Amino acid sequence: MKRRILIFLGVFGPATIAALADNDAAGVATFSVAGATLGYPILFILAIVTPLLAVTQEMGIRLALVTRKGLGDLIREEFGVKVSLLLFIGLCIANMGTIIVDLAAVKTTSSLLSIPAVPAIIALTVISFLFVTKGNFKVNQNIMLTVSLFFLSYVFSAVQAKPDWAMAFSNLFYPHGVRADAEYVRNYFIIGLGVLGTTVTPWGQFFIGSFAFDKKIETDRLRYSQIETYAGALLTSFFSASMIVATAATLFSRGIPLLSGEQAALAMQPFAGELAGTLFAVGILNAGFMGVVIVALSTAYAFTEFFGVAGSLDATFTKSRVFYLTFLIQILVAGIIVLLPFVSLFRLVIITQFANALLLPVILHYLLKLTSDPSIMGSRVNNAFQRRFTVGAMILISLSSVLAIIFTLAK
Amino acid sequence: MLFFSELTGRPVYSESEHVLGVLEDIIFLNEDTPRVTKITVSHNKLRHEIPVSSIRRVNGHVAIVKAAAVRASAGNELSVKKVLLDQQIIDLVGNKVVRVNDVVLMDAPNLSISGIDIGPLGILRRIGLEQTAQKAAKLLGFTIGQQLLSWGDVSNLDLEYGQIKIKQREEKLAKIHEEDLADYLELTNIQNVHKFIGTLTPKKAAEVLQSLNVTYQVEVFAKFENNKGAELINLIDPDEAVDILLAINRIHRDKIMQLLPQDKRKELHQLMSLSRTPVGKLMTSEFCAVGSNETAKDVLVKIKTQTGNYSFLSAVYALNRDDQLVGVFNLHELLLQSPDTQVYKFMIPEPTRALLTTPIEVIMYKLLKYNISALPVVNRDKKLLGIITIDDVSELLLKKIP
Repeated sequence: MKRRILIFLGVFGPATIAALADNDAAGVATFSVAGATLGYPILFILAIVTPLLAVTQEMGIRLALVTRKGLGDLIREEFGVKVSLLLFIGLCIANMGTIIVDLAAVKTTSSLLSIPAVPAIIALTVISFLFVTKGNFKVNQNIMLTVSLFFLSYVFSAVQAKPDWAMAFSNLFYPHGVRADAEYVRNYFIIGLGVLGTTVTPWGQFFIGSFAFDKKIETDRLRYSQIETYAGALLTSFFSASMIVATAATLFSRGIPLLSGEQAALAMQPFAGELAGTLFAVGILNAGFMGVVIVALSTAYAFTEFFGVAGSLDATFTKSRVFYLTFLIQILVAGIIVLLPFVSLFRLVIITQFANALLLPVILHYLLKLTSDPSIMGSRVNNAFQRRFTVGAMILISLSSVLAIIFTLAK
Repeated sequence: MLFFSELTGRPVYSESEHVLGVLEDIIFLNEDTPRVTKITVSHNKLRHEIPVSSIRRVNGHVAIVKAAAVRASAGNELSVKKVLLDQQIIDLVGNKVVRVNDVVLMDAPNLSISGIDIGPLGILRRIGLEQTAQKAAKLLGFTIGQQLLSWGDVSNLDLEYGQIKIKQREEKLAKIHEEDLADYLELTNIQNVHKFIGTLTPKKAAEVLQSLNVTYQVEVFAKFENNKGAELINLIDPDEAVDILLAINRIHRDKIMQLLPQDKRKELHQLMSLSRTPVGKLMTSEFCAVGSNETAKDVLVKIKTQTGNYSFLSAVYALNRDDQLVGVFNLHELLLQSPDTQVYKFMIPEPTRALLTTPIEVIMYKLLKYNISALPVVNRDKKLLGIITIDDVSELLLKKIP
């Protein structure tokens, strides 16, 4: 038993970090708005999305550990250069959007905490870059895991908000307890897709495999990594649920609308106490840092895989120059865009969500095809449940994307 | 020079101009010189293999096939699509270097793989945007260079285990630009040829060596130890031997001469004195030379403007950036090209050539043997000095006829 725990601790990291990074600043904003606008019933969507996150992430880590290659490597080798180039461009756009949204959240939140915005963004860029270039894999992973402890601040905020626990729990199984008029249903769709889109992400599919590969986890440790994947998905959703509960208990129950997620910290202070609000804000800053680093890393990893150049957190800057530059350029460009006063961040959020929603079913399609191919996976191909569940999810995501686009345009 | 991506998807015709299907894959032998053995043709999702021996022409885009007979696969046959295209290239210590973006083929003397495209142009070519990107780059005032890796740098032992490993460390990887390409491919062949000759019996080795052209001979020869060199010289035809001996440096030559048997040494000395025949006086400077990266259109313009007063023009010579002779093509080959095709793509690399020191007898022999109307003369740095046409030596030839 002791040995098993040690092995588990040895493989621990990639799946948890990949899952927790889903609660990046953009994620926090989405969950806050979801809780404030829709109340507890949106928890039902979260309960559906969690197994989807677990199943897809498990496929990603299994693929990486069995083939010793990343998703980008395999797509290039199996499906050729055209598909690779299109997917990489798509991923670049979607990830760029996500990084911008994360930095924007940092900008807004830092001004709430009366930290000047411009130095905050510059500091974040510099820290992210030093963090990635100077640290090796182990150090970086441990910093990310430690930083993840800040997510506990949401749990604290949720408890402080004194929610109706019975309502919250029962809504995990079926949505109820609100008056569902047309307006509510429409918002439920749009925000529900946002919840899905911020939890199961295109970059997440690439990141988990690359990161597990960079950690050099052995194939025979697969069992442990799978357990970590499931646990990570549960933990992430637990934090997401905390954010929803915190805003549902304070803002939705009093009918206070929330226009942007970052305002949540301020809006909930009167009802949950100053400490809860401040913790919520600190949580957003932390989530912004996590999101920026991990999303930018996933683009950099994907680039090295699609085009076969060297790239690892353990490599020096000169050796993996392309890898680190891909990382840096994204953050720099995002930083500049966020600081430009005339760029409409609201529109960027919408575009990013659409880009992610369009890309996700395509990436899941390739992930599913690769993990169902016995010539690649050997005995570790998907079972019937994994195949059907993912196909169902892909159809669901595509359909709801179309619906959400229609609803957004009709609004 | 051809690229794999330019051949895939192209129709393959039978002798009666009937479309057999489209070219899908190329099968090659995993050897030092990876000869292509078969092509895979697909038609309505049905695939069949056609041995390369029944292909009449792989010219730019089309393959014309005689009666096709399928042969069993040899053990070391590999598919370009499966083991090369899009695969990862690693260096000696296992670092990732780059991926295979395209595969370079040579169609002379045999259809074989000569290198790997590792540059962005390879990707652009695969998605059909090479020309567009080149034009766009030209408008912006720069050119996108080819980055190719010669087959000589790939370890073919590792290829059998599914790894493309280069024989250098990543930092030393020489990325080649198109001007130097022909040069580089030639260099590969010299390494390969040298390796190959090393494995043969001396007699066989001499035969192979004398079938090479003079520049090859000299460079390959320079790699041998003196003993081995003398042994080979002894076995090579005397006129070829003189060619080689005159081209290598004096000290090396004297050492080898000392190692030769008495009568052989005498014979060679006599022949070498013949080389005083002034090649330089026979040579003409009425030739047309172009850069290997110029386009067919550029070449036509050059011919029209510069060669109006020439008495004779049958071939155009291609030079690299350093003005070294790297290829040749005749006017017929030029006229077949589309205007934007670059010279290095259709030229015949490694033309037969002579040095200033080459005995005139050898030059006459080469003109007749290869059935060409002019032979380029280069100096030791492979710079083109002039040409000797069949006209120039016709008087001397007549004297030889009793």
